[in-house]
Amino acid sequence: MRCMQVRVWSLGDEALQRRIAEVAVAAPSVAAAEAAAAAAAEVAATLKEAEEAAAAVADGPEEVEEVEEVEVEVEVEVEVEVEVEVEVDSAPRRTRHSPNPNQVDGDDGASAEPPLPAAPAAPAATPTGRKRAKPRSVPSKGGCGGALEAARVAAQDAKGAAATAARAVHAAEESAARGFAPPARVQLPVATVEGLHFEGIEGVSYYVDCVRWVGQLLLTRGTDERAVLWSPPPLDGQRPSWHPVASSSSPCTPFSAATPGSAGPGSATPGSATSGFASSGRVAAARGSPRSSPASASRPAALPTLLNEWHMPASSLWFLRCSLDPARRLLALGSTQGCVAVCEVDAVRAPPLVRCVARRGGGRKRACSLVTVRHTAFSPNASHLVGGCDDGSVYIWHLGSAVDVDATE
Amino acid sequence: MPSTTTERKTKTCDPSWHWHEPHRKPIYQVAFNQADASQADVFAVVGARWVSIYRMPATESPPHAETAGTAAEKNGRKRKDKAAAAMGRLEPLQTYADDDTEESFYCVVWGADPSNGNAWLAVAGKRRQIRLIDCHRGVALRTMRGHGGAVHEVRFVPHAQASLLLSASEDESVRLWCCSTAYCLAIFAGQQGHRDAVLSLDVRPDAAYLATAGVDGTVRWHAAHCMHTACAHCICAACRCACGAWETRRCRGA
Repeated sequence: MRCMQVRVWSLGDEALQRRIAEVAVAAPSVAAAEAAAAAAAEVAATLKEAEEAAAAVADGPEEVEEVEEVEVEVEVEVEVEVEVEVEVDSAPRRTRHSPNPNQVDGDDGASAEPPLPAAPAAPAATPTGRKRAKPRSVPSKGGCGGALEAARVAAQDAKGAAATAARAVHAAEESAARGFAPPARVQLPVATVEGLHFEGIEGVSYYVDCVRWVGQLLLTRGTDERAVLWSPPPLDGQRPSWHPVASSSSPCTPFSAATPGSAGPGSATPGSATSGFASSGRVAAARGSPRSSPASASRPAALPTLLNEWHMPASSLWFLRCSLDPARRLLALGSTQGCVAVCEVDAVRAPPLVRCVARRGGGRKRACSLVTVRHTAFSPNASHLVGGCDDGSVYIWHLGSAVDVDATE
Repeated sequence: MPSTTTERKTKTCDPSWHWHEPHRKPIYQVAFNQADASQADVFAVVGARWVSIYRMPATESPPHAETAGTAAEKNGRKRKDKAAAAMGRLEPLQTYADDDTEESFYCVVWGADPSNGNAWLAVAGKRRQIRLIDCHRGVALRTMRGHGGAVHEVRFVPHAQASLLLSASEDESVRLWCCSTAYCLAIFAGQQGHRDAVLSLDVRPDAAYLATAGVDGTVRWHAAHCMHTACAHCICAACRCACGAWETRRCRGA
């Protein structure tokens, strides 16, 4: 079953905004209908208890007082139902006029609501009908037979009320879904960035299975065993700034002296890493020192700027995700070899800080289990790393000091 | 202290805790609760049709593990085995299982009920539907259906009063859901959307933009576009929210 809908809807932000407003209106109505159903079910349960109690009394007539007590309790519970006055589409509702203790009556108004695709703020369930439970105090008669009968009737009625309410909820949801405009379609992305994870020669494309925002920057991981930090095209009219942690003497920063007119990307950058940019004819034209002023916002083309990258061996598997700590300072890259590399986001061309190994035992001679660490998560203060593996095992590594040392650097 | 970062040596870290989930199936995602600061040490693990919720222990490592680790150099192998036995395992706080035995959850995300702050858990996966769990009451609240393919990632839109959920799916689309009513609000797909399964999405912290990435286009029929495969889209998400007043920002950059 594919979900390729060809319906065409007015694009644009207004449509989406309208949709959200509609749903905001509809939410309380749906919630009220659900609450009514829950209350009705509760009443039904209470009355069933009463019925059972009455049946018990029928065996021994000396417990008449208890029956009356139960009936009083029922009355109280039904009072709750009175307060819940639901306004839902009551198409499948049954009308009763029998003089029963728990009476369900209402005016009929089961008209099919026409769909309003463009009406702003059309509520989901227009109250075409009104269901109202009007309970009366259960007549407590002296005879236990009468009490039993009354309780039975009450229980049946409550059951009916609960079923009615459940149906009403369903109808409300359906009519809401029907009355709503279909989802807004957003077909045009603001920007499409390409060439970050692909092999130029054969045109083989890699999956990009993880994308994360690092402030205004984006970090993607692909099945080419690389994670890349890059600056997206200017979205707000300005290019985000980034301050890497790298000594100025280090010749390895891929963008340290790359001027717009330079022949290629930074000399120390591996060729495979930036060949995507090069072969697509978009050599670092927008590349500049990230500390300098932002590139001209009026530049028409949306050019990504490669800022940092990490290579993780044995991670060409698909759906093998990287993770970032809440402060967006550390990056964890999993692999199929039972190993997780924790790197610094801001450190350029630096080896990983910590290599977490999925060892089953505590000893060093124990072999690392070659399990695929699918996904990892940092604890809130990045002191621990939790990793989930393909064999259903969970590891927790205590990073603690290893990470903190470099924080002071 | 090394002067340059390149001289730094990578440290090796052994796990402090290790256990197997009972299902022994791949665990596709682990997520800490970032929605509720008071429960920030709680994390969820999803795999197969199971969702397990654990609490990170307050101690840094299980008892005996540290001492055994430091003494491992001079002591014999027996001590190491002892340390191995002492490797801790955590007991789950809560466990949820989907009724559908075919379900395999691929993703999980934490959220909060906008009305009372209850912790929510949105899980989704192979069966194309998103389950919303109220962890406070321990019930499955809603099910959001509509995707035509497996759901690969879900995210809550941050700072939203009414909680909105985004989901990336194999059906080449990203959907925006209202969690209070389980309605789909918008579909991010179509003309210039992804051409293949969407694998990942993330919302910028200020909730102004949404970035998605995916498999996108095997080269076969998109030869001219083959550079365009494996791309990342930045899609303007209408997610600016303040007190229920929604404002959509039109992007000036592109």
